[in-house]
Amino acid sequence: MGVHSFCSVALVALLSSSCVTGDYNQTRVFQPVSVEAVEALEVGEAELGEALASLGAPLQVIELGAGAALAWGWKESTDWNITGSANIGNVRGRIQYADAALEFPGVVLFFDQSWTLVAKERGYLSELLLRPQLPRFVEEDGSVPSGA
Amino acid sequence: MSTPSDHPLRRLALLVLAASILPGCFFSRSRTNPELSPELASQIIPLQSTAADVTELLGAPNEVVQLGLRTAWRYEHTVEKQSAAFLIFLGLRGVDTQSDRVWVFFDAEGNVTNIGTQFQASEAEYDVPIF
Repeated sequence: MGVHSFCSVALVALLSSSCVTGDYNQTRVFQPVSVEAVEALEVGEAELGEALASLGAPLQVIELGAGAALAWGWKESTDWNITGSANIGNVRGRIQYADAALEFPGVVLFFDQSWTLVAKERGYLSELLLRPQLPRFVEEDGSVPSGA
Repeated sequence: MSTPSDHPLRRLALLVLAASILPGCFFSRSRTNPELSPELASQIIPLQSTAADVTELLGAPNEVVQLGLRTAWRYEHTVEKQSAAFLIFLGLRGVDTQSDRVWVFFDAEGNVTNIGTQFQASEAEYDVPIF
């Protein structure tokens, strides 16, 4: 038996007793905002209207103390998912490999109560938005409930 | 002299067999919430429009966020297009999700102070990845 024939027989034997399948996935969720547009927003000067005009509608708006955080996020990724299984005698084995990225990159802009930009950060939204929340803003009107 | 593989029925059977076990593909499209109209959104004017005007133009929002005494309303329409091709041991899949989104910001009295829009849902594409 020649080398080619041996390889063919070995390949057929392998495929008939085991199975390897792969998935190649491409994911695009929303579209990234312009880096230049984010850079152009000056901390301490830019206001909400300017940010919305240059970056469009955010993905999320979150109350943060007396102010708010606005997040823009997107995802463009490709990943592999490979699964292999084999039957050898009475034993069945299966192994899987996946490299899917779960992170969602983005930009978060922080505004104060008067809607002035006070900070901006880039990174993964899961990290930027999970920071400890500031206390909720409560306005006291000074009135005393009747009957007190 | 013709060989057995040249027989028309045999060749047809081989073609049918190959077509049935070799390639497969699918396309799907899903939408979330009604479409948003840029024309209607453009009628919302900061410092002029009120919450009642916004409701009349766009209907009930998908989300209301309380910001102290102020609020922000989100309207969103999402389109997801998915396509895939299957070879015997390999699947190629592409998913593209895009949205139309409008955020309207109100003051404590329910007057519109700001509006942010984006209309990208129509840009979702069927795209099988080729690596």
